[in-house]
Amino acid sequence: MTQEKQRQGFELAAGLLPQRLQAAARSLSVQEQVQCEEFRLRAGQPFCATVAGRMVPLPAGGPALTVQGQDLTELVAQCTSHSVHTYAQQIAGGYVPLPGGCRLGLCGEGVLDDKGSIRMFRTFTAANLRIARPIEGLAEPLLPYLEEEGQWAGTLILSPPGGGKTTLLRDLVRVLSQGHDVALLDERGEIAACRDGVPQHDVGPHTDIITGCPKGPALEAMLRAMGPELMALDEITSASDANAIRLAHGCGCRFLATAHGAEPQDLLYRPAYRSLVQQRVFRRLVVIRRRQGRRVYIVYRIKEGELYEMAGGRDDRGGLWNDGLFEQLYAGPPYSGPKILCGRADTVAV
Amino acid sequence: MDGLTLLRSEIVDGRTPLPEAAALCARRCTGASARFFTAFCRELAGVQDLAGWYGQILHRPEWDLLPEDIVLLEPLGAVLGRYDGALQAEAIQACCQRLQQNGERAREEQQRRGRVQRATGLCCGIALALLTL
Repeated sequence: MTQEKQRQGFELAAGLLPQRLQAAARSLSVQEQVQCEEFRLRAGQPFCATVAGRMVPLPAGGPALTVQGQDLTELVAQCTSHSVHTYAQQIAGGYVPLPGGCRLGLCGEGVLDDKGSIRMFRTFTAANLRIARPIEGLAEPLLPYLEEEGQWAGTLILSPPGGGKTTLLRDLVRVLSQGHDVALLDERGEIAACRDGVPQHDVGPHTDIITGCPKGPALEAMLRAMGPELMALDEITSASDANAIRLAHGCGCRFLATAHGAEPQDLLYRPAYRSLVQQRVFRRLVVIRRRQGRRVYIVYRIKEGELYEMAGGRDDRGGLWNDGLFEQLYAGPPYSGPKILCGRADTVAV
Repeated sequence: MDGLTLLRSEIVDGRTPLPEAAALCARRCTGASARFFTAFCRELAGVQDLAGWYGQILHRPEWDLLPEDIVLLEPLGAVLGRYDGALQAEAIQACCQRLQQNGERAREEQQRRGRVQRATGLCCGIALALLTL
């Protein structure tokens, strides 16, 4: 991502702040503005920015301004264009998608509905104005390893939270969309970051996006309505999601998805993923690891084989879970570019 | 009032962002309502305190609003765009009802005055006729 783009992202985010905080935000040096990842507003606490992984009170070099409750109200008003009703569902989910792919995270005093879900926030206590840092160019080196017999092999991306799964997913969708019809199930609006129907991140020219809907119904709707070749989605959580994926796979659709986990065998402890791996919905696994502060992508082929039943963490024969189920195809060399700034949406090691 | 009814529909049914809803009202309404909504969506972009700005804009003479109507419209500034659609719709609906009641009272008053004027005119006519006899 060029420095100019990063500065534009900073300016876009700073322009959404309440007037009395904008000058404080712009007190950062040019280099700090380029490295700024987010603004943090907490009622009654100093106004801060996260710059290259460290918290910087604002204005820089002076006594920090204290965030007031009114600042949070004005911030939400600006970010929603004075239209809380338009973004009510997202606000209840704790976020507001912003232009340019930026994102406002929110928390506060929740008001619950009859089912115990958050309906709205009565007051806001804190906000996290995250500056978009989309990374492109991650997907191309991996593509040759993610095909089988000339076709996309269902692929799962694995890493712990904050590891870069969504960033890689987004870039893979962008590249795959050049030659395929892709359906993107963006339940929480984090992948394409659609605002008023327009994706704020580049997810490719042939990508159909459905947002704000649970994965099961969204998947069925996309399959019926849009006829995709490929479907991309973030974390599969429930058995019903897995069932819907299995049905769609039976119709010839291939998948790209993400999962939380550190090691390939972590998948085998999770029934939803285990069944999908067993039924060959996913044939490739991309594990994102950190080495010396840099991300490395390791691609595994998921071989056909038996999955042993759980027996205290070992199989019947006393062997390990994966026992040759995962064959490593590719492990990128350590990245030689600029050091990763922090755990979010940063560059790559391929 | 037609403009408010349209605004309410856009907020509740379409969840339309306020600037777009106001632009739609500006296109669909006529006269002072159209002028009001045109100014509303033109100036809204730079506004941080919507309630305060809305209160000021209401008092401009070009909308031909009566003082009693302004009193009813002012509270909407604290609600518009700030709460979920249902709450905004309730507030707009309540405002429309009170405006309608105001309008009916004004029409009744006008009719009553009309009757009084006609009666006064008749008496004056009779008096004049008597004087000229």
